[in-house]
Amino acid sequence: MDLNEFVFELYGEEIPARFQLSAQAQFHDLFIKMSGEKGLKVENTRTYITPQRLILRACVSAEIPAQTINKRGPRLDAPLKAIEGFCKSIHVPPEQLEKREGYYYVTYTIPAEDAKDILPGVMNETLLAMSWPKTMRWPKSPTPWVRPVHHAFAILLGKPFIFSLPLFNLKTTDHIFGHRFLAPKALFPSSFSDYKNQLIDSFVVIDHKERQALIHEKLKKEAESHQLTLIDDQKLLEETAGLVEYPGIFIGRLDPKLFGAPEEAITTSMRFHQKCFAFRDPTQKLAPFFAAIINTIPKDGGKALTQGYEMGMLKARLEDARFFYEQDLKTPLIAYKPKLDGIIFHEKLGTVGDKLKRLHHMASIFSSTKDYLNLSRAIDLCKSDLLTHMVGEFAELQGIMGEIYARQQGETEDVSRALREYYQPTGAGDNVPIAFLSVTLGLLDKIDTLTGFVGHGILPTGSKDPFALRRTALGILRLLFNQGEETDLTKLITLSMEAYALHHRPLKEDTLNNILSFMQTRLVFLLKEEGFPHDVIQACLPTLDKGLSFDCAMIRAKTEAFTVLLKAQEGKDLISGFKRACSIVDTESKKDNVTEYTFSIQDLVLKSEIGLYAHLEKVQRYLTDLPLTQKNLSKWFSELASFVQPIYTFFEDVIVNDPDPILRRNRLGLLSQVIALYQSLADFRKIE
Amino acid sequence: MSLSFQKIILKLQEYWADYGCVILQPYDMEMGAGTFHPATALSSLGPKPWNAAYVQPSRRPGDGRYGENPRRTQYFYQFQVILKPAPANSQELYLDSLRHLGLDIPNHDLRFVEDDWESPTLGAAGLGWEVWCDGMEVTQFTYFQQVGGIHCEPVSTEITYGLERIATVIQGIDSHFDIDWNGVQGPGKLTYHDVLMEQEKQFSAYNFEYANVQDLFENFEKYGRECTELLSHKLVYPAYEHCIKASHAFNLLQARGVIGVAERAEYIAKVRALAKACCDVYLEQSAQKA
Repeated sequence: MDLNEFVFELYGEEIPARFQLSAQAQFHDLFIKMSGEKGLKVENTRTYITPQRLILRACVSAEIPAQTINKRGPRLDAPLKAIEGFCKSIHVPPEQLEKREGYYYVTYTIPAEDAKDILPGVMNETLLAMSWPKTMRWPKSPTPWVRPVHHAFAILLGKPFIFSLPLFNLKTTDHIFGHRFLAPKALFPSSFSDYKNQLIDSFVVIDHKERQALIHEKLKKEAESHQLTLIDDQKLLEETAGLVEYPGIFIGRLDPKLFGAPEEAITTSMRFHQKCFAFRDPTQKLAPFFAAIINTIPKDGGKALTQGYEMGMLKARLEDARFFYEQDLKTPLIAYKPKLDGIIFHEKLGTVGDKLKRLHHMASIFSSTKDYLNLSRAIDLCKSDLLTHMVGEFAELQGIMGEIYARQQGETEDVSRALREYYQPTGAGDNVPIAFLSVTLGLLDKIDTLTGFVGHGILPTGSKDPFALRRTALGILRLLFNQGEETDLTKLITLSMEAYALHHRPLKEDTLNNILSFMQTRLVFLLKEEGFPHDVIQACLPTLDKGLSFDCAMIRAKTEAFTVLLKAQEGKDLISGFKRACSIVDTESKKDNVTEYTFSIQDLVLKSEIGLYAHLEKVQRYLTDLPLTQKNLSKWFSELASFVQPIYTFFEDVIVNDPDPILRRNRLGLLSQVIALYQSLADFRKIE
Repeated sequence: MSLSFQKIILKLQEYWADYGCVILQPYDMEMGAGTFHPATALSSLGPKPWNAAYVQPSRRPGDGRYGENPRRTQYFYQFQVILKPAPANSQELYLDSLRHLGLDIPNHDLRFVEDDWESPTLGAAGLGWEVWCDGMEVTQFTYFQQVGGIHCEPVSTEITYGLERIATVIQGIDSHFDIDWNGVQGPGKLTYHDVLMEQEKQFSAYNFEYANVQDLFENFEKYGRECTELLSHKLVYPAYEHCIKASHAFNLLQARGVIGVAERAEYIAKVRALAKACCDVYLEQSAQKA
């Protein structure tokens, strides 16, 4: 079938940079979906986005071919009303019905539909289905959208394709416009490559990724020509590519005297407030240069905009940063501690001062260790930087400034570093710290936060998680995964609840269970993300019972070990033997309506059942002396795998459902004991 | 020669008058932004078309820096434009106004950067952008979606120029205080410093150190009561004035540092309730008049 090229552009006012990439993907997926629903065949769909344009290019079939439908109606002996009803519903008189194999049938043809008649509906449906995080209304349009749109363009098979877009009260046209400032004139492309090239000539790069690459290239080139190295910033690269249709670049100089504040403060201000890139000089120091991605190519070579860029907001911000830094250094971090009693952490959870008291209470379990003094010091200082001028101005510098000020003021290296690291991990790709102080402080702080919110009935719902509790929970899990043994969440939460009772108010009774279920969901999520199979994960989860331990690292270790072991033949045999045992015990206990079978050695008769019992006893004795730790996991697994042969032999030689009820009951009892032994390691019943 | 500060204002008034805006005078009361002027806050509600432009001196007590910061003052000038209903070419109108001021656009970097302006005290919110010129915000460009918690129907375009910022771009200077105010050469020349530095110093001291806190607390309560009382008599304009007075009293109390974090939310809620009540009565009245 012939495929025709279809190009569509929706043109309007600047779409926020942070929405663009997902909008591009949505537009693509929705177009394919809506075409499919209407029966229109499309191929090679590509979408593009600039701050002002939403673009689509696809190859669409010229038509939906005619279809012959053969529809079955009521039985030949159906009441007249049913037959009449059928005829009415398909608009066919009874005479035209066919009779076949006891039923009425009707054959009719749906005529071919021209793509020209279908595409407008597809485009309207596609755009209507798009969802933006925020939309607005404007006078001309009946439909809210991210920002006003004023113009549309479409061509089909090289010719202007004019149709209505009632959702915006617009009509497509035969032209587009070049860059708003550099080449605003109308253009009349007749193919996609024409469209793309005419726009490039008019200073518009339609592909987001291409703009990113262009920006990166220009930055690298400028860096080289000034003997500098670019400080890479992927997020800023993406953002700036969403702020321009054509990435021009401006390199400006900074007065080195402005560099009084620490590097992190300077680059944060440059990146966050001014959307500028920073560089390093050959000695790896921060270079007195910045790069701005501009939406123009100044004819005067940048003379006019230099003033604004070099003397404007960036300079003012860096001066502020330097001023704040100098002021902050005058106050030792510990001096802020009493003020924290006046800062509310959350209206339900008391002050930051209360939080510190609770952290101290939890930390007391380490009082006999050599790190205890440092841990106490780190707790005392960890929230101080929130009250500094610098963090007051640049909230994202929390922790970073803590470390810098601590070091400057003579705190130990471990304590200083912990003040920054204890926030980590903050997101999926973030580093997980390994230093004892950082990990411990991080765990205690996160657990205190999670316990407090859940203990007051605040849990995330659906899409609302204003206190980022999911992220906190994931952080706790990733910290615990890195620990060796002793990662019992139950113990930690119980300790935290104690702290709340002492230094704020007691929490609800069911807090522990609520947190554990919440954590369990997050745990399953993390393990699934790592690629572990669903059934293995479920098998390794503990039963959530008050008081029972919830050892996160162990759960992960089990999941990891079993995923590997169960792929091998030995693992497969182990499961099949287990399943065989379960199957017969479950079936029989249902028939008998009992929950368990008793077992006694003296009722063992055949060699294989004695052999199975002997093996069971041997393994039980061995495992009693082998604690279930991460190190011993594979040994435990091997012991269970060793049942494969005895079980196989048992089922070969022994008839479980022996006519003798004593023998039968005993054999079921023996199998139950084997099952119980397996279940003490993991819930093997969940393995598929 | 680039435009003086007073010439910039005259040219903007000229431009928007030519477009068809009525050129109003500033509201003769302390307020934080041009949006609080009834010509925006109230007139953006309801169906009646309205195109207006005016200078509005604005006060943000907490932003005082005793004249030591070259770009931040507690008193500054906004040029406010309200276009109702929002024209389809709103952005082009704005860009042309900059050209009218002599800004040679392709030689400057102009970007529309996402910013959805909000006033919690007015219950006003819109979607739009900060307009950045050479890395500096010079204008807030907003499509009003609601005021006083009420949907705007039709939606208006609000363009708020930061006059000092624009002047520094046009005159190619660094500090607000260096702005050439009257465009006179020689001994008659007056800069922003000449006209306003002393006020800036004295008001910074007043806002942060000397404003009578007891009076301010009492005034806040009084203005709130008076606003409500006047609304019961359907005197919406005098009532709204008292709402603005209450808002300014709150801003001063904040600058004095006597309002705690938790209380702040309460005060904002109170002013917002007054603003909403005024907007409700305003809409009622304008519907009746129609």
